[in-house]
Amino acid sequence: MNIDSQLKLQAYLDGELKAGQTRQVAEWLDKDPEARALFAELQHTTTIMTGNEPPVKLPVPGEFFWARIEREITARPSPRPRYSWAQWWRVLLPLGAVGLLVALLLPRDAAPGKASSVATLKGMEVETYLPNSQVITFRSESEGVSFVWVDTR
Amino acid sequence: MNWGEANASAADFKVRAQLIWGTDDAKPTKPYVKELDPKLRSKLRLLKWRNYFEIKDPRFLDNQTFSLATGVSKRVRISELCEIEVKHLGGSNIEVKLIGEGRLVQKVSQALPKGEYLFLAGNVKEKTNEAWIVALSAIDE
Repeated sequence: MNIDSQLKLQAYLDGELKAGQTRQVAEWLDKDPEARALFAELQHTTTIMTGNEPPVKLPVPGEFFWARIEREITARPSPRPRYSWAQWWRVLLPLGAVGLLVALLLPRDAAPGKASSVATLKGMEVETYLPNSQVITFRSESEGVSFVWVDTR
Repeated sequence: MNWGEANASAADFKVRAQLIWGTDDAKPTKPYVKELDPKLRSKLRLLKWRNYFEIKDPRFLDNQTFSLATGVSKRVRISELCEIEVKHLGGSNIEVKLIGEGRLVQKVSQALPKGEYLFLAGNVKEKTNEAWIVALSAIDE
């Protein structure tokens, strides 16, 4: 079986084919044991992957993280077009956002009784004395609220 | 001394502390679990829980407001295991220490102008659908 046929089977499994193609592949599967075997293997792989994907949960709602990232983004100066920074920006921006997210999620270890300073907002200082905890700060000027979230899971 | 027993002068900084429970579950039947004031509830809309209740356990929070002169701190118990210590640093600036089971857990310094809220919050161990929140606000009363 060539690679195109294999890809067609994968597309059929993923529901990406048009109605006519779907019919053709279904008929092909009825007639070809090799195609059926590959299709069964692909189904099995998909089931294993979707059923065993490790759950990655944010300790607080995504808005917390996004608000922080958005603030960082808007605080940065606009790129100058004559140097084609826009192209770099498309790469650097997601990388920066991911880096910031990772930094926010990194556990802040503090020895018992010893403070560990954490990333803070302007005008706010936070020290945590809790080992293996994640601290997230968030500020909304429009709402007039500041949050200090500590996650100990 | 209860919180309200502190003698307040006109120059004192007046603070209100409230213990809030965020949960996806229904309201518990305990009498000291109250519906949260809608205005305060609206300030929490960035959080993800479906319901928010104020815990007004008379053993700890019989009077939720207290006054502080500059440089003075006050330690108050907000639940069986948790206390806060609030210090007035001058102006609208405060320092809040969160104390869990007698040990200092966190220290936060922040300006708290009237009408604004400072929320110290965290997850409840082993429970993804619950959170504790301590709300601090400066008041006029």
